[in-house]
Amino acid sequence: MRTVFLASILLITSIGLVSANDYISLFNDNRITKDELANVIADYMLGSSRLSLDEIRDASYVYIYWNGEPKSIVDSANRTITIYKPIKRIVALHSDAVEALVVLGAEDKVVGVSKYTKECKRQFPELSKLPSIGSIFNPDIEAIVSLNPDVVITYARWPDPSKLEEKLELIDVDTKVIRLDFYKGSTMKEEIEKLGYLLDKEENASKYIEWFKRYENLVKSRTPEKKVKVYTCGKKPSRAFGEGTGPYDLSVMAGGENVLKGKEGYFDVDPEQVIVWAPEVILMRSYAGGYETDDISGMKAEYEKVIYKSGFENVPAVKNGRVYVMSFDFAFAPSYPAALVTVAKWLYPDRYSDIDPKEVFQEYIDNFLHINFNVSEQGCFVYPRW
Amino acid sequence: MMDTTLLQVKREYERYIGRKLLFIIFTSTLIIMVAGISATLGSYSISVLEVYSTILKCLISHPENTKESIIWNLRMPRIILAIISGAGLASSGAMTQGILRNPLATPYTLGISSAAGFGAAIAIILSKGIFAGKYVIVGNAFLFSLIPTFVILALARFKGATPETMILAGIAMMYIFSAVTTILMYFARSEAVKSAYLWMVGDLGRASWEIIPTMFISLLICFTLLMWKTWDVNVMMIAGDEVAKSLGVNPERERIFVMLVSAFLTASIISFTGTIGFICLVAPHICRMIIGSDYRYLLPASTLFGGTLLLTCDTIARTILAPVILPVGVVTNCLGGPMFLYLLIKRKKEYW
Repeated sequence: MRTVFLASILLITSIGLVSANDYISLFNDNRITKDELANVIADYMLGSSRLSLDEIRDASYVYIYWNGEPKSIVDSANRTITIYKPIKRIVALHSDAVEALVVLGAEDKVVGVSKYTKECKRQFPELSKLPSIGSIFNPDIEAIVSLNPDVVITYARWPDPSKLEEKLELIDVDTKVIRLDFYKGSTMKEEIEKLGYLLDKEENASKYIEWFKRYENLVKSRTPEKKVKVYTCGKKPSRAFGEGTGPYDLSVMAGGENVLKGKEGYFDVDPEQVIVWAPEVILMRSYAGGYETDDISGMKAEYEKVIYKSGFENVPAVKNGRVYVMSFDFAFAPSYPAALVTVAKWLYPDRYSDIDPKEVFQEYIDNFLHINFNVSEQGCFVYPRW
Repeated sequence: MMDTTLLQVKREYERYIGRKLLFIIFTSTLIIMVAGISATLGSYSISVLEVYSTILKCLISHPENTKESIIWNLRMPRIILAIISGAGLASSGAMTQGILRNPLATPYTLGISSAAGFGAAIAIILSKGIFAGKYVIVGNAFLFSLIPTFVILALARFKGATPETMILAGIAMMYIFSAVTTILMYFARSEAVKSAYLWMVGDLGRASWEIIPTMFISLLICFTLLMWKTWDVNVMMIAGDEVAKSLGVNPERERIFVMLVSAFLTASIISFTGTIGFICLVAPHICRMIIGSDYRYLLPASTLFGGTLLLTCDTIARTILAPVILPVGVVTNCLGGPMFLYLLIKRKKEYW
């Protein structure tokens, strides 16, 4: 133990002696010039290059397609991420990132997923077969490193950097961590745009953003002056989802006036308070449904918890049958615009009589996920059923 | 005639002591063996031979490639952290049980873990973003975790509290701190709440060489100090406060001293790892069942055994469902619980 301890001191003092990477030094003046590229290629042909053939290929790619310059973005954890090589191998720690990568048409670059994506056999028929790196909160670093990824994509907040970035630094691998959420409506467009830019998939990104904006603007244009009062909750009717949570943002973006305005985060409220607020619509977020199950009984049970809650019979939403349950992987994922239209129609049914939200969702599945999946027959996304 | 009996008694005593020493030697060997096995297990496939040659190589130079870094910077710190944490928790648990003469007493029942959780929650909730304030969390957890101990010591010093009162005060403190944490969580952003909860679940995933020297030194110093007090604790355990006084031991002073050292040791561990339960309760009891309550032997035995137990559990936690890593606390409870029950049932006479 003592030797180990001494050795650890030795190790700590010796940090900083790592040699500079020859490939990165091509960017010393911020970009690869024609001369630099010609030199490294000539060196390679003479057998005196310190770069591998792959690195020379990358340098040529960067010179031709990126104008010789590295690519930079600011990710959702507010860090500047700069990449110097085309990204070829991606480990996605959450299913929303996997979905975004599919939307961008970059699924061929994904080499590893989390255990949650492994379960998504219908939504990601091919990618769910990829090797797992464990859970997002406690990823198996050895499993990640053995996949040799160029980047790892994870949520802005999870896992803790001490379980990911700091570990990768210790191993000194050339893997970048990019933190992007892909589950919040408010940041979805810019996140797709940033990832599309890094992966050279700008075209697919703008196709998606256009589609997103179309429904965003449609809902905005149809929202009336006098707004409907909404209450958002989790699977328990008393678990309120206030400002900053997905359901709250969705209800407001869809044109509702949320009774929880001014209250942040999720918390338990007194059921009597809900009766006092008298919401006209109640929106519930559920983990029960999704792409992978056709059994709607879980969502139904959550729905019934609200409508049969004693005292709630006088809440307008319950009295008028305007309680709705939505599945999280439909409402808080890149399929967000479909959920937006769905909620907007729940709030103002007469203003959206010409629009079928189910078709909007089907449009998303056909055009962006490219899977053989019929939302009229498969999966459970909303309750009462469409 | 007299001589032979005396000789017999002496021989029997030596055998008795020999058994204890044997257990200590056995546990030390076990620790090295488990560490040796643990180093070869992981999702990145590296052959057993490579693992050992890398460890030997890295003792003198530093790792040069990915494989070597995985062994030296990922697996080794985690193994050593597991041993240090297990050892520290078990030794402070053993001593707390001794000075308070209560089989259920641990540093946790004195409120240390809930106070540390509160300190960490404050730091997490108030910090801006996840990249700020890594050391603030550790520091805050450490500072807060010492509060309950000082309150209890003040009670003992100024109100002359008995061990029973001290435990009750500790439990009260535990409830207070968990309640305040819950209140804090109610007003925090949902994401910070989740981070804080995740912090509280003890886990060795934050291991790195950076933190090892500090923890090792604090274990070494605290263990030496506790070892120095084992005779006094023996007297207090067996004879009670009154008799201890007549034998020249000042029970109040010893109690305060041992509690301070144990609290410091526990705090220095859990502020890095979060609350790892059970080891501090169970490791000393298991050792007590095997080698008896003589603290001169029980303390080193518990320390070594605690290290072995936590290392074994952590190795299982990170390999059994790989790549899914279980929280180590789950495994300690699943493994330690039945082991403890088995020993309790098998044991014929009262041991406490």
